[in-house]
Amino acid sequence: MPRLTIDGKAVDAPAGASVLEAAGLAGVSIPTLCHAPGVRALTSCMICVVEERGSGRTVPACATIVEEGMIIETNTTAIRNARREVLQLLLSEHAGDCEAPCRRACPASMDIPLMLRRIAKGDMDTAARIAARDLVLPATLGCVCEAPCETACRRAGLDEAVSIRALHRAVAEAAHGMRLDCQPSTGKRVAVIGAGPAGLGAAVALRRFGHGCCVYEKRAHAGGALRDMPESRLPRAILEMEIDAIRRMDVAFRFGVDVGAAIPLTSLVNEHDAVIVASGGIEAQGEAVFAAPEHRMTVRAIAAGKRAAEAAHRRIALGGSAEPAKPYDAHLGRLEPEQLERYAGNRVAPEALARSRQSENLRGEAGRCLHCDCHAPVSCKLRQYATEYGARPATYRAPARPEVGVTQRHGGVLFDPGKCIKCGLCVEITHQSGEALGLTFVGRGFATRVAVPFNESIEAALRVSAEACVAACPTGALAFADTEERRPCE
Amino acid sequence: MIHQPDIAEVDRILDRTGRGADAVIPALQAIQRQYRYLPEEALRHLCANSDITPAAVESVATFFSQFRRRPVGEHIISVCDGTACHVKGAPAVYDAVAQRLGLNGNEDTDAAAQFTVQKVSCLGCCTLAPVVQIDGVTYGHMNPEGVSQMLADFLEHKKNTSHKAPSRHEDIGAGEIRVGLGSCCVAGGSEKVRAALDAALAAIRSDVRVKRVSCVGMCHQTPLLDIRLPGRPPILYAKVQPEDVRAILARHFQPAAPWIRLRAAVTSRLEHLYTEDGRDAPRRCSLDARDAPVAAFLAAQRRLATEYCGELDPVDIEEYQRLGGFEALHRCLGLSSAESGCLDPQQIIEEIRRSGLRGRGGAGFPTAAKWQAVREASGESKYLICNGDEGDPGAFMDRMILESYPFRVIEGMIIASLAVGAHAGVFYIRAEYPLAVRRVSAAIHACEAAGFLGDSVLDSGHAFRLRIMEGAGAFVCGEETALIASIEGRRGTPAFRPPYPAEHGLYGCPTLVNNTETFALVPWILRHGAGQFAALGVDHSKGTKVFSLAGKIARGGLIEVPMGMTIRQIVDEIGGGVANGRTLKAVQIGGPSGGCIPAALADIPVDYEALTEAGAMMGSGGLVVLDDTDCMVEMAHYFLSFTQRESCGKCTPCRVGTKRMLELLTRLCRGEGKPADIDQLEHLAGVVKRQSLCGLGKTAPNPILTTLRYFRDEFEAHAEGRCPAGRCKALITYSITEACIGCTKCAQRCSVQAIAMKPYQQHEIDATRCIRCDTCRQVCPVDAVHVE
Repeated sequence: MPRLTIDGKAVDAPAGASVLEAAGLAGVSIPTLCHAPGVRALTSCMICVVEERGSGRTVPACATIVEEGMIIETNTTAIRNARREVLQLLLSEHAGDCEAPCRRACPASMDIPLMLRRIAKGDMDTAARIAARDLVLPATLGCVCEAPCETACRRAGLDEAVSIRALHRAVAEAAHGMRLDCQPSTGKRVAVIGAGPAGLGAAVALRRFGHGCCVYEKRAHAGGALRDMPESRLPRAILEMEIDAIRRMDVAFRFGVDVGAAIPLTSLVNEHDAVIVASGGIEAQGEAVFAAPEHRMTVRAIAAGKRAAEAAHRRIALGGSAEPAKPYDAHLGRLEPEQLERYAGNRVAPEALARSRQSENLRGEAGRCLHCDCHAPVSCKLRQYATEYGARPATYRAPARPEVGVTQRHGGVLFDPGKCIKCGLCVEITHQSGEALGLTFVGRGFATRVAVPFNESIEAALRVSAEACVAACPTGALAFADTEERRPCE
Repeated sequence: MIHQPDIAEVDRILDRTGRGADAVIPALQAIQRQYRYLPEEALRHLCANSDITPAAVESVATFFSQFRRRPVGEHIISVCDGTACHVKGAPAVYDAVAQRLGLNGNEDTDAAAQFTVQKVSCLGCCTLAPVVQIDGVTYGHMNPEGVSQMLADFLEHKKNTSHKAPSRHEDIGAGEIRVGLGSCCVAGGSEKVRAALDAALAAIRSDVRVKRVSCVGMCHQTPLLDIRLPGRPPILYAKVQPEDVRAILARHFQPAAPWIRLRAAVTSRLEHLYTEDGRDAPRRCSLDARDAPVAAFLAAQRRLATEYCGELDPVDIEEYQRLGGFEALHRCLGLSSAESGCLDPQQIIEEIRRSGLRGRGGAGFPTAAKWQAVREASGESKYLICNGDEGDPGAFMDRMILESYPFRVIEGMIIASLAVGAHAGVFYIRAEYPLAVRRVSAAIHACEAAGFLGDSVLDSGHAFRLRIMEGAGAFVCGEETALIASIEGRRGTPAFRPPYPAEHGLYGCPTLVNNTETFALVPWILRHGAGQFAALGVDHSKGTKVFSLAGKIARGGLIEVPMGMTIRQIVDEIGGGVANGRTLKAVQIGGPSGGCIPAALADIPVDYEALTEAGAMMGSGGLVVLDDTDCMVEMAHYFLSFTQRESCGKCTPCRVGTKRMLELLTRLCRGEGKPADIDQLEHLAGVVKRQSLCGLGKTAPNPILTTLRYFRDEFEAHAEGRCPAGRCKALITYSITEACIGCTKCAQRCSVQAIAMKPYQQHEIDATRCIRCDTCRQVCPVDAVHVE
């Protein structure tokens, strides 16, 4: 058993093992995109590079066989830079979105595509839950929101945007105010000053984290500026219904309390683990005080409340950890009409593609969604590493947008060539599993792409190995059409 | 014209190639030979009736540039875009062909499906640059305005293609005529000359022997006729045309029967020849080895790999033996009369080690060390591969060696097989070198018949067999692991080393991969001893190196010089300096993996270390001379577009990095670049160099890094929208100055009617029509065409 040193740790690895495997034994993780257990080293992505001190060479860990006395460094600045460069090159030819344009446009980052897919399936309850979780006041916003999501909706380029706002209003109204599930009580208590949209947004988020929450409001009602809207724009009953649902989440309200005048902020700070200031006129000062400024755009105010609650949560429950890095978000950007047609081609059923906007038919309307979001927003290693290594998308900008591939969709498997990084894992797996057709590389050099031989369907290619290929695909290029993966907190 | 393919032919092909998975490339080559493209029905039938999978067919057929998936026109026009052709105007020739065929955008075939045009990396006829090949016919020294004439000539000759096989005369009593039949000479028209010779000799019923000989190396003078008369010094005729043949014959040989009419007919030509028998006659002149330029071309050279250049009949095994061939092998096997006792494998390797021989393929790895590794590797079977996949644009050493000295390479391989213990070997030769394939194939048969190859080489008990694998067109297959992958029937993508092929090569067995030239040097070393070889050259670079000298040089050709000679000596003494009296700007050495060495550094010697230090590399030996009209940014763009096109696409840094670099360079060449682009280009070049998987990617940035190092000001000028050399089309305009005498030459030759004919007046160029083909500047007798 050769003994080698990886990042200063001695490790005995079986003869013939790769440096990547040896690092696993030493508990050192090395990023890799083109490696999967049981598949020979493909050395295509070149992310797993490490420094071999003896020769000074930068070598791919997956293909370097361990030798006695080897000294390997996996995390030097040079190595991290090398990995970032490769990631930036990969991203320069990436044609796809991590998040859907609608969700990206939504200040509250509502998981719109997921909600639409639930509606299209007739699962209105889940759809309503998603709407309530992300928007806090989904029915209210269904009346008053400026709906930047619909402006961003890619479908608008084809005919008209999906009626996202009408849909979240409809499901939320039908659910009569959703009481969201909360984490078990943490015993922590947070005061929220102001019961406008920002305060309500903060209160709901805090309760969902399991923190006790009391909202101080100088007026006699919750809702803030929403109360001043005419009935024609926002029926009072809808607002009441949603405030009532919040009350049912054990949010305490103290109305008629003017913090700053009647009670000093400091006393609230002393009595609570944290304070969120969601009201004008009070300066949010102090270590455990967080600001959630109101905004004339209701959804922005709600989003500010949610963000303040998250900041408070990090302080009181997570030991003051820093705000997690925003996940890398690849943008496909605006598509020209003909590109858009190619793009939309196989993403939805032909009848849904032909259907025009009709907000009263909820399922039909939700089915018009082009599902621009990625099928692997969490498991995508390209996204994870791009986030981890701080890859900047515009470093190597191609003069023209990367070609938008035609998505192939057959028998539940979906292949989005624009997201393929040509790692070769699926090609290798289909070969190993003895597929009659399988997948193969077509072309050479930059033009290389993964395709089914003789232009057959992806279904015919993956008779026995679809599951293995989807599991091995490091990005969202190969996926099952009906999988939904989301972060635990979502 | 699309015919329904006859599928039964596929079965016959499979009977020949075998049905194993590794037969995919030969099978596809045979199918393409049959149908001229790869029809899908034929491919499906292939998969259904062999172990070859659809995935393998698709991946291989789309990887190698030789394969076509769409039907092609009746004739294929290959416009060479090798380095030498490129600097001499190949892009303009290509544009002219496309324009003549009326092609739009990405079309490659004319509407009548008569011609399909393609750019090819290098036809290996660099001294005839720019070169165009239509089917088998080669046209050298092409220019845009000659395209119509070329097509007409081709169609004319196609009609009378009664090519009778020339008979061979054995009687040499009356003398001998030697015709160079290397590719350059053939391209230069030597086959036509030979046919004319045969006809003329038959006409005068002469029994003079016509002998084909290996490449003479003076490719700038092709076709060459070498007249040997008993007791008289040889007389060399250069640039001979078929119509000169009768005159030359009449001058030196008495017809067996006087034929008045013939003699009368040739009188005028004879006089023409006599009167132009001067040293400077541009087209045709007789040379002899005492002529100063010829002497200079030959004198400084030292021929080892190319020994008996211009004398040896490439496929005459007896002649090869008469001239010392197989002596080295005899010595190794203890069959030599001079010495007793054989050399055991270790002694052979020691001899090679003492000679200091290093790999001639580019990287210069010590040959003996490689042999030793293969010898020591454990394995039932071991293989030997001769790497003749010479893909560098601007290099044709391997082609010439394989065409001219197949026995020498085979002998080197047999000796290597003894040393490492291999019993099977593969010649990997580019399919673009059909003549080399034919000659090597004939030589292998001759060696088998003579007992040099087979189950017991010269009854020694050592079995060694050779076969030929035709490369299907991928530069990256020059990399040994990619080469092995393609022999095994896979895409030519390199693998990470170690393991090196010496341990884990062809079919997982220990494999020795050496370059053609390396093998060709082995017999000389063992015949003359390591000491004599080591006496040539310098410190760490021993012996000689073959270079193909091309570009803006007065006397291009294939040369072999001792290591350590300076670049200036090669250019000035052997090459006769820069052509057309221009000044030397740089020498591109090492092809797309090498770099541009500026004139100021021309005194550095050609040895592995000195070249690497200068940022270039020995490469396989392409040496392209650039003059002051060459734009270095455009050169960098040219080489990078080659490597980018030839990148296999496996590893990210090379696949995407070279593409992004090329985009930056394209922007600069179009005048759309910014100064920051130069920095990013340099940065990205570093990334690709450090982080690519194989040699192709690791060296692809070299041409850029050297041009940035020595000619950064030109990059800066481009970022400001200027091309100092006046080459980058987007940055230049053509105009006619007052010096114009109104001769109308430019207007007559302009292929796009951008110049109106105005006799005796100053002409004008319509910039909106001008395609910047440079023809007007070249034809102007008074230098009145201004470029800026």
